[in-house]
Formats: sequence, structure tokens, C-alpha cells
Amino acid sequence: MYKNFCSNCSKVFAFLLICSSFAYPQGIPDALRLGESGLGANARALGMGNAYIGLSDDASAAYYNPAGLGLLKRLEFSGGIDYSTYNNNTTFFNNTSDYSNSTTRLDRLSFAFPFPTVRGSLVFGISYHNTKDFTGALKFDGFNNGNNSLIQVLNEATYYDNNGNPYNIPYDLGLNDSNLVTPINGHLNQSGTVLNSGSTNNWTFSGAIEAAQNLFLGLNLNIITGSYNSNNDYYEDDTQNYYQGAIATGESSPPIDFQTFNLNRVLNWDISGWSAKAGLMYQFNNYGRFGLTVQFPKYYTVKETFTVNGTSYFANAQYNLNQQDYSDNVKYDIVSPFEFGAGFSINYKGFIFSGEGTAIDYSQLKFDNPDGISAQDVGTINKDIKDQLGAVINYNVGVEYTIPEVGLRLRTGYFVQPSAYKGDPSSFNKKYFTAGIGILAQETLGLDLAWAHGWWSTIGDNYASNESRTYQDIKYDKIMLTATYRF
Amino acid sequence: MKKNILKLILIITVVISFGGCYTILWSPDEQLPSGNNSSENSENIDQIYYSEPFYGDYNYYYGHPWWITRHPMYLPPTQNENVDKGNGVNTIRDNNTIRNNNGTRNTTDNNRPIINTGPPVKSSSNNNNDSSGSVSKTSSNNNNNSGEKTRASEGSRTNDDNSARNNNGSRNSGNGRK
Repeated sequence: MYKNFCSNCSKVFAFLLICSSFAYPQGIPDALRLGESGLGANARALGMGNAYIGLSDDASAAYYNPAGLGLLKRLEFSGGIDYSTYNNNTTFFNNTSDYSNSTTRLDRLSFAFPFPTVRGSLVFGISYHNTKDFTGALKFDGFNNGNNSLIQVLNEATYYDNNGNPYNIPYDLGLNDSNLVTPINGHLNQSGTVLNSGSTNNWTFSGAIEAAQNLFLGLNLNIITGSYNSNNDYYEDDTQNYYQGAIATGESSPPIDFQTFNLNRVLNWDISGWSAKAGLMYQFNNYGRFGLTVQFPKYYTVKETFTVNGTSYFANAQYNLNQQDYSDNVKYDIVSPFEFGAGFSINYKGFIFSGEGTAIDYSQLKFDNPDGISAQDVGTINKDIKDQLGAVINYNVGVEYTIPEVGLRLRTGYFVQPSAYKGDPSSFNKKYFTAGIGILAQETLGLDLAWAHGWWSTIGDNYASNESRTYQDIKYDKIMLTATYRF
Repeated sequence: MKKNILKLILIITVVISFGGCYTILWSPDEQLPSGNNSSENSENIDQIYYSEPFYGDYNYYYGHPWWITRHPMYLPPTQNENVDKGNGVNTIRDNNTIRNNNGTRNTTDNNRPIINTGPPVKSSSNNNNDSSGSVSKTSSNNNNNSGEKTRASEGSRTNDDNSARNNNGSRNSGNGRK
């Protein structure tokens, strides 16, 4: 809370009111977090590069292509776990840092029930599966010799509560004076860590029917649940002793010799929502299959809790933020765009070759129904999304070979999820190489193991645009085990 | 785009409506479908898709409906096999297990061909006090049994940053990556 404020604060308020909405806005990364595709939860599919729209013939079809459920002839229980590691090699002002994060989770439990038929096929399924993994990590440490800092950016942003009371972080931390003037002008060492975790999961109810000979139609309805947690710990240190004097001049006992500014921001999401997906599968006798899917927009509701703690250190003082003053609870919807998928699989003497493409226009991502955020802010974000994101086509290829004598299946695959940002170089596309193995015991119990290795580059700004930027090389690995019991 | 999707859904619905749904469900008052008459198309197609020569046990794993009783595997008899007619199950006997008349293992004549004999014939005259001990009997009630060995069951599997991109989701000043 503001400690003291100037007499002519009304003028300052008028200016800061304009800036207030930019203090901690939601943004494109938030929309992309939910809008981008996940890696699914089936080891056989992952081993084949997730090229499964044109092959889906198990209970996981509920996720990949609901029409594929119609190919099931036996009851199926299946489920699995996965282990993921996220490694981030970051370059920040010519310094490199490595940081990693990992998670282990139960990624799927499914049941499929084919009704007895005299002709054709009718199958229903229920599944709980992981759809997206938010595991992430970032560490950076470097000296920013520019005339900028987060302190300066925050100094220009004041937040007002419902009663009109102003809040300004640098002021509460003794980093500016009563006129909101700060001597801080960059030349600080900047460092920090970011740890992300969480996931989205679907309760999926699906059904498929053989509508004409060899033609299967399917539909799923998903109830989405999930959570996201991000812990961002950021420091600015006067390692070169630029700021030895008094910071808030004019006060009776001003802090002197600024040393460290720390801001800890914790973002928690409670995610809920729903979605639906329709699929078609046509089987060309023993030669192959062709599949189409339409993923209807996913409607996410995000209940956001944003918690801010801060501390500043001087030679003669230490200031702490009152957490209550800068923490926030808001609610909003994020709506993802349509996704159109087409895939095929070709069957040739024990080999199954599969491929697929999925078209997504990320510019149609949008925020909606804000509660605690102004409609103007939401409009600004949605405009930014239109301006900065574009349409992409994800593509996946895979192959599987069965050794019939031992019931062993070997797989490999490759897929690419292009960057949603317009104009990003190809190195920013998420690329995955996958491999897998499967065995069958007693004609009823299948075990599949898959490994996926992903790599891509990305950038991140601590504030502003390209003033405090991290250049990140990501390596992502996932090991997935799926067990399937058919009876 | 949404209109096109609606048109596609409409077209599919109309095609299905006019053609009738292909799938016919089994109803409880019917006999449970069995090998030859159920799921005649999809089942066979799926079994072919994962055909046994190339996919081994996966053929059964993917292709055999749970509501159809699985029949034993059919193996055609060879010269080295004998067949138990009684229960229809293929009983393969290695020649080394054939007992000879003395109740001991026949270890010397492994390649002796199996002789298929016709059914006993009962004579209607009932005057078969033949000292030769012939078991041949004739009867007018004789069935048309050819005397050939047949299987009781032929069942087999073949029937079956604000606008900026910030650092991993942290909130930035909002003036970022444009």
C-alpha cells in the first residue's frame, strides 16, 4: 500500500490510470498455453509420431479420432503413466544457464465397450486422459548494460483497487520518491528462475458407429479439468555499484545504496471447460485407413490467482511488499480455434505407415467473458492475438512393424508443431522424434512403451520488447508406458 | 467455414438416413451371434487388416468380437495325424504314441499308413456264425455312413508477455514482442 503520496497526486493518478491496465495483463502466452496441441496419452500412438487419426483402433481413439472406436471388437481396459523432463538451455546477455523440471503422472484410464452386433459396429467409451503437460523451467543470469530495468517499467505502472487506492511496487519498496521519480536507470544484473507445472485432462465420453460398410463415424464430448502453476522469481542486483546514493530523495530517512530488488510472482490457474470432436474413418479392406477429424473449439474457464511478493535491499534498509496489495483473483474464458485433421495409414506385409496433418488457425484464439478484467483489456489482447499469431499445419508421420512370431512391434515417428507466431524461424517449430516398442501376451494383454524427444528454440522477455530477452533452447523428453487389456 | 461443416454434417446425415444405418444390433431375444453370421463384414475386414501371417496373435487381439465364442484352431490332418471323431476337437497323435495291439508303444513302424475302415455292416439274415470271425455285418437299416472320417466341428478362427512473449507465463509490462 502506498505509504505516503504527494499532494499533487491527482495529476499523477490521471496519468497512471491509463497505464494501470498494463501492470500484469493476461497475454498471448496464456492463450497459447491452452490453445496449442498436446502429446496425447497412448504409447503406441506416440511411438508412431502421434500419426493416429488414420489408424486409431483402440480406446485411445476417443482422443485421436473418435470414429476409430468403431474398429474395436473386444472390451478394452487401458491406462498408462508417463515421465517427462524439460531442459532449458538459456542464453541471457552472453551467459548461459541450464535448468530443468520433470513430472510423472498417470496419463490415461480408458474403457471401451463394443455392443454385440449382427452386422456393423457400435462402440462406446469413457476415458480420463492427460491432454497437455505444462512442465517447464527457465533460469537466466546476466548483466544488462542497457538503460532499462523491471523497476523502471513497474515505476510507470500503478494499480488501483476498487476504492481507488493506488498501488505502486517501486514506491512500496523504496525505489522511487513521492513523485514516483526513481534514479534507477538500468545497468543492473538480472537473474531469475521460472518453474511451471500442471496439466489439462479430459473426461471423455465417446461413441462410434459403422454407418455404412467400412465407414465409421464417431463423436466425443469432453469435460476438461486442469491446473497450471508458475513460480517466477526475479532479481535485479546492483553488482557494479551504480546506485550508491539516496534513492528517495526528500524523505526524512531515505534508503541509500540500493543493492537488490526481488519480485516473486506465483500464477495459479484452476482450469475447467468442455469440448467436442467429430471423426470419420474409412477402411480400405486390408490396404489401409483414412481418417478425418474436426475438433470443435474448446471452451476453457480459467480462475486465476496471481500472488506477488517483493523485497528490496539497501545498505540501511529492507522493504517488503504487502502480498495482499498486489495479489489478484480474476476469471476469464479462453476459446481455442477449430482444428481440422486428416490422416491415413497404409498396411503392407506387417508394416503400417501412417501420416496426418492438422490445420489450426491460432489467430482465432480469443479471451472472452472477463470477470475482474476490463473488456477493453480483453479487446487489446485479442487484437494482439490476431496481429501476432497465424495459421499452421501440424504434421506427423510414423511407421510400425510387427514381428508376428514373437508378437513384438517396433515403431518410430516424427512430427512437427510449427510456431504459432507469424514470422518465427523454423528453429522455433517444435520437432519430435519418437520410438516405441510393443508386446502382446496371451492375446489379451498389450504393453507399449514409447519415448519422444522434442527440441525447439524460443525467446522470452522479462519486460518490454527485446530489452531483457532470454534465448532458450528446449529439450523435452517423455517416456510413456501404456497397458491394454482386451477381453 | 462453419457453414461448410454444417453442410458436411447435413450431407452425412442425409446419406445415412436414406441408406439406413448399416449397423444391426443384436437384441437379447435373438440367439447370440456366432461365428459365421455375425458382423459379417467389419469383422472379416478387421481380421484381414491384421492378417495372421503378418501380425500373428494381433489378428485375434484386434479382430475377434468378444460376443463370439472362440472355436479351436482348425488344423487339417496329415499322414502323421490321427483324428478323434468323438468330440470334434482336433487330437493330434504323434506316431510314437500309438499303442500297438500289445498295449506297448509301437516304435518300429512309425510310417505305417492309417487304414480307414468303413462302419460295421450288420447282416439282415442274422446267420453270420462265420467261423472266420468276420465282424462284417449288413443291415437294411444301415445309415448312409460312408465310413469316412469327418470332424464334428469345423469351427476355426477363420470365422471369427502481454502481447509480448514473456518468460514462461510470467506477466511482463505489456510492451513486449510485437
